[in-house]
Order: sequence, then structure tokens, then C-alpha cells
Amino acid sequence: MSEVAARIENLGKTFGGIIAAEELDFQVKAKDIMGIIGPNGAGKTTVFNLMTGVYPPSTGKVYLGDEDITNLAPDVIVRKGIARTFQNIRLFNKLTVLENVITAVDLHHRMYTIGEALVLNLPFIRGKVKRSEKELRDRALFYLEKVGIAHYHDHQADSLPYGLQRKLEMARALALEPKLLLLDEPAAGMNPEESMELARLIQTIQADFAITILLIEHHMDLVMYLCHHILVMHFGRELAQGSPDEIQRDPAVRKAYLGESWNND
Amino acid sequence: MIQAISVTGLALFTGFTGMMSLGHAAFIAVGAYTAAICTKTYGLPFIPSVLLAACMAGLASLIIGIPTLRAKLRSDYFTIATLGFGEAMRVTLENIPITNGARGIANLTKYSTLPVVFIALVIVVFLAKNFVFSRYGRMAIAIREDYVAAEMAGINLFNVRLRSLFISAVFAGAGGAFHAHYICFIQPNMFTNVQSTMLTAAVVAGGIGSLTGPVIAAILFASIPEILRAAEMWRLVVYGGVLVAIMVLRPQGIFGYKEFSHLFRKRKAESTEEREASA
Repeated sequence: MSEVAARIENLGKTFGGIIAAEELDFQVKAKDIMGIIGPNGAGKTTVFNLMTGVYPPSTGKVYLGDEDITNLAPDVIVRKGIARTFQNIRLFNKLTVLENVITAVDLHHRMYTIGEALVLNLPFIRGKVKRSEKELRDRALFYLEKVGIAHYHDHQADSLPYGLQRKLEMARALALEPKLLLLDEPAAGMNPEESMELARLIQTIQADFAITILLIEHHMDLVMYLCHHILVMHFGRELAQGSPDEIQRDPAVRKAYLGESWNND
Repeated sequence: MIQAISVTGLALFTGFTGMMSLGHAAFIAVGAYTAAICTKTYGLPFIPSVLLAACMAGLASLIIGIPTLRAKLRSDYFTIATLGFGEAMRVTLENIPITNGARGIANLTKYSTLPVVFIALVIVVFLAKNFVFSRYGRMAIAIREDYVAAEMAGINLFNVRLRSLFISAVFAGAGGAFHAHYICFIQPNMFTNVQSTMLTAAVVAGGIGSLTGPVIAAILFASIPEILRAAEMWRLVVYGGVLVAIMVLRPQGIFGYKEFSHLFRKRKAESTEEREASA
């Protein structure tokens, strides 16, 4: 009944002799928040990398909606509507917070050509280039406000504290106007309180922008609270899939990943 | 000052796009020869010759840029490719008839007077500044900072890098044209990798990610050996010493990531903040 935002078919990736992922099949329902969990090295980030074209899959296909996006270049995939954040934050450090987001806003709002940029940007005259730059700034500020860091817009990106850098990365990804947003451990390094605050932010973002979110996370309370559907990975393969309740009851998941302590309740 | 024109070009490429080139002498050479042949053999006026020289250098950059940048060579491999390209260009110039081989082209008219070069430099810096502070410069810097993230922000690495290289070569070519009509004599030996290295040194010493810095460094570096002429053979040693001193004392370069105009921009940013606060 509900639409599918993305579909993965028989996806696999080997690096030399090492199998990073294999025989993965799953769907992300449109407007859903889906989680991928699994122990370190289970191949979660590999899935993100395959979906965003960082490297091509060894087997299988990736669909965005009905469109086959397997083997497309990353920048083309972004244009088609997948944006992501990174496990180890990747910002444009020497640019300001605002410029980081402008770089992304620019994708769908290209407003002047290189000729105009080179020749028409005269000092003291408010020409087309300056007007467009102003508009880009305003649009970028909107995203910064969404994640609540607008007052830092003038700071250099690498001067922000860690938690805010994560938010900036999310703002930058949102500014790409994606249909599907991939978040790679958005709550890494956060305490339970901060991660629940982040969970609420992710919910707000999902609702306000009406997008689909697929996230990798280790904070179980966040995942269980946020996700409608969960994929559990183990050694590059699917271990289980289902609703948070189903996952918590699944014996294989408990044994392999969550540990016996989950039997208590 | 003539060198500053070429250095501005390289600053765009190395300082803002984050790719190291050791073959920029090749673009200077292409510019110098094109301009020399235009004015001498074909009797063209100087300014069209300079423009033509810049275009030829741009074309040359596509020859090296398209295959290497498409293959997404990592920066150090790319640098080695440019090194080879620079050498290949010099040898080519020595061996084709139109350049008069190793003997070079002599008796050029001296068009590059101080005012002419100064105006050219102002134009080049103006264009470079506009490039850097536009969406194109921003994309280039994004790639320098983190090319993976840049790609994930929908930036096509190949297009942006090639564009930077092209513009950079165009400026280098123009620099070459002025150089040829200043010395009034050119031969392939003038455009060795040493020349390329000097350019890179100026960019790095002036400051990666800055335009003001490399321009000042270029002028400084060109004048130091002249000022020290009295010291005779020791002057090049002193020159090397100055370079080492800059790198030790200010590893980010004289103007690392900063511009002369930043002071002004900061003040403007503060005033807008005040306005927002009062609104």
C-alpha cells in the first residue's frame, strides 16, 4: 500500500577476499524512519557507501523509487535525491558554518554562471552575483535554524563543538533537498539525554521535510524509539528484519547482538 | 610582478582546489611561445597575442587535465603526472620547428612595461578574487577540504578540478606572454621544473588558501635575489634560507587562509549581525 522510497536487491560487496556485505534485500518505505543496527564491522556503513556510489557493488542493485541507481557516480546520486552524513564527521573545515550549507544549497539553486561570477562581480555594485549569494545565504540560514545552530553561522566549521558539527552535517545534507536521508551514527559520542534530544530533532526533520530516513545507530534506546522498521546485520548479512518489538524478541538477534541481558524483561 | 600573474593562477589551483602542480612552467612556456610567435612571426598586436597565449595555455591544461583528473588520480600521483607533463612540454618545444628549437626566439619587442604589467596583474587578481568568492570557488574549497564530502554534496570533482586547472593555466599563460615580452628572448631552458617549483614555493610560502599571500610572496621572491645581488653567490643561499624561515616560523604561509580584504569583511559581518539583533 505505501510507497517504497528505496529498494536494495541482492546487494553484495567484496574487498579482495573479504566479504563486507552479501545477499542483502530490503526496502525503505517512503516517509518512514528505518534503522540499520549490528555490531561493529557488520557492514552497515558499506551499505551506505554502496547506496551513495562511493564504490560500486559486486552484486545486486540499488533502486531509488523505481529508478535503478546502481553504478551511478556519487554526485549524480545526490542530485537524484539521496543525501548522507558520515560516521566520522566530514565537514569543509576551513569554510564557515554557513558556507558549508551554502555549498549544498547551491546544488538545486544554481543562480549565476562562471562568466557572470568572473566579470560581473564589481566592487560596490549590487549585481546579480551578490543578490544570488544573498539568497543562497538566506536559504542556508533556514536549514541552520532547523537544526538549531543558526547563531553559529559565522564560525569556522572546525571550531564548533563535536555535537554541533554533527548537526551541521545534517543541515548540509538537508540542504541538498533529498528524498532519502542516510544518517551514519548521528548520535555517536552523545550521552543518553543528548541522543534523545537528537531523536526528537530527527523526528521533526522527517515530518517537516516529509522525507524518508535510513539511519545506522548503536544507541538502542534511540533506535527503538525512532524507527518503524529495523534491519539487523551481522557479518555482512541480514540477521533479522522487523518492527522494534519483533527485533527485541527475535532470539537470533538477542543471541548474536543484543546479548543475553535482554532476557530480563 | 610578472611572476605574480602566473602565481595567482597556481594559487587558485593549489591553494583553493588543493591539488599540487609541478608542471605550471609548461603553461607559462605555452603562453610565452604562443605570444612570441604571434607578435614576431605573424605581427599581431600585443594584447590579442596575450589573450591567444592564455587560450593556448588553457587548451594545454585540458590535454593534461582531462585524462589525469578523469582517472581521479590522488593528489600526489597527479603531481607526478604534472611533473612529467612539464618536462614533456619543454622537450617538445626544443624539437618542433615553429619554436626555433633550443635556440629560442630572440629580439621580441618589449611590450611589458611596468604600467602594462601592473594593470594586467590588477585584472588577473580581480578575476581570481571573483572566482574564489563565488560558488565556483566555494566548490573548489569544498573539494580541498574533503573531497568525499564534496562529492556527497553533489559536486562533480572532475568538472570543478578541471575548471580550476583551466583558469589557472590561462593565468599562467598570460604570465608567460608578459614574461616573454619583458625579457625579449625565450628559449625552452627557461621553463624547467625549477621554475614550476619556484611558483609552488611562492604559493605555499604566501599561504595556501589565500590570494594576497601568494601575490606578495611572488613579488618578494622575485625581488629578494635582485636586492641581494650585492651578496653575489650567497644570494641564492639567503633566498633558500628565507624560504626555510617562512616555513618554520609560519607553516601556514605568510597569509594562510587569510586575505587582505578579510578585515573589511569581518566588519561588515558584525554590522549585519547588529542590524539583525535590532530588528
